[in-house]
Amino acid sequence: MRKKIPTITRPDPAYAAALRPEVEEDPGREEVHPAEATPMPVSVKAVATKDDLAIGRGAPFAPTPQPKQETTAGSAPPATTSSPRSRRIAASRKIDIRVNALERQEEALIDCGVDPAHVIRAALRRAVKNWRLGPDFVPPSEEQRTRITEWRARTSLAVDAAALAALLHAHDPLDVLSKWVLIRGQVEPRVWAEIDALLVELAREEDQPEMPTAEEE
Amino acid sequence: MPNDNLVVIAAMARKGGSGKTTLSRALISAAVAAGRRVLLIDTDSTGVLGTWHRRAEAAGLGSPLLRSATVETVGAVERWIEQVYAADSADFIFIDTAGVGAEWSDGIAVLADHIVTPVMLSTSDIDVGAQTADWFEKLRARVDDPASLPRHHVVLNMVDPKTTRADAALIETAIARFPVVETVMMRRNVYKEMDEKGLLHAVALQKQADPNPLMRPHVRHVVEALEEATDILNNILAA
Repeated sequence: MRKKIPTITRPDPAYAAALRPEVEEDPGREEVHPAEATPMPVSVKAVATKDDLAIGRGAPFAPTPQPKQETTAGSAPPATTSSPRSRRIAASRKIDIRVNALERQEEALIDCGVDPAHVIRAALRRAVKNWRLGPDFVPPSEEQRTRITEWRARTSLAVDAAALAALLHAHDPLDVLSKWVLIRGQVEPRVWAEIDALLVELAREEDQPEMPTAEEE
Repeated sequence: MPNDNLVVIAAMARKGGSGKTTLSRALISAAVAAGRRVLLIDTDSTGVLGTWHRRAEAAGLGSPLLRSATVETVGAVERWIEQVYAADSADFIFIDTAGVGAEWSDGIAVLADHIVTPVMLSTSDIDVGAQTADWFEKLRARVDDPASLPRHHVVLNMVDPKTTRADAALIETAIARFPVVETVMMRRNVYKEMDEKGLLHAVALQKQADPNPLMRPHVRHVVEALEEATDILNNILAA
């Protein structure tokens, strides 16, 4: 070893962000390639060596480097191995989901003073903000959903591809069910809990006396 | 025996066209003129420096002391450095990089002993130079052993021989913001000749031996450029 080579403990946020979206904070922005979406239990972690860090590739608009053979004048290329550097590749898959409130929440939603559809969508956002799909199947709840379909939040949700593959492997090996059926048991209770929390918050705000204006003082 | 005196200098900047390759050519010329063995590693996907070396060799204006390698991964750069170190096959390694900020920049930076960034005298170039300096400062917080990081040097580049008041103000700004090398790199036509032909001292020797006696005084310009590059290299090594 010629000199101590310091280990890079974390990537440059200015450029790493441009290269690879942060899946933890924004799960809805990444998709896997069709080949990666094959329902097989796979590891989401991948190891990249320094060789994977192709030089000349800038973020975000630099041209792709052309394949080039290592050349030198007068000596053979060295064969020393380099230490591997791990780099996480977060594979995710988008699933079409439809979430609605429970029948028991209907009345409170109508009375809360905010469009119920907005409350449900806000609850969904909160529910999945720090949520990660677990590999164990949770059966969908038997609780009665509201029949008011206008309130329903329909969107796509990025979930961990490996966890989804594990779910498929265990509960739908022939891949015939909708993906939403596989994950709704995990998602819906969180959304309903958030709707309840939002309704409490809205009720609390309504109960608070209005701040006196300067004229009243 | 491994060469413990091997020095690895990487020309890095987060902007293209700042003069990294020209600075690399000049520093390589200075090192070779001083009798040092040099390996140049071209990591820029355009392959400009590697092409220059081949052109110089073809014109007979290279040197047996100079070898080149074109690589496209950080791992390959590391292997070259380790191989040269272990085999004691060079005294200097110059790494020329692409003018972008990218993930690989960190990987190259940690391998080098010195990082040199050319900055031209304009407000925009100084701003972009500041980005490079900021990146390197922040790199200290992102490695486990900041003391092992290379020294960063900024070389003011393409400085007009007739310095204006505006230039002087920009130089002051640069000195306040960067670790500026004392010797600046002047705007010189001879750098175009260096690009076209090869190493500075080889160009000087060619001019000296020119059958046309009117060409011989032109050696002075090449020698001045070589002296300037030698000064810059010495400043970098002394830091």
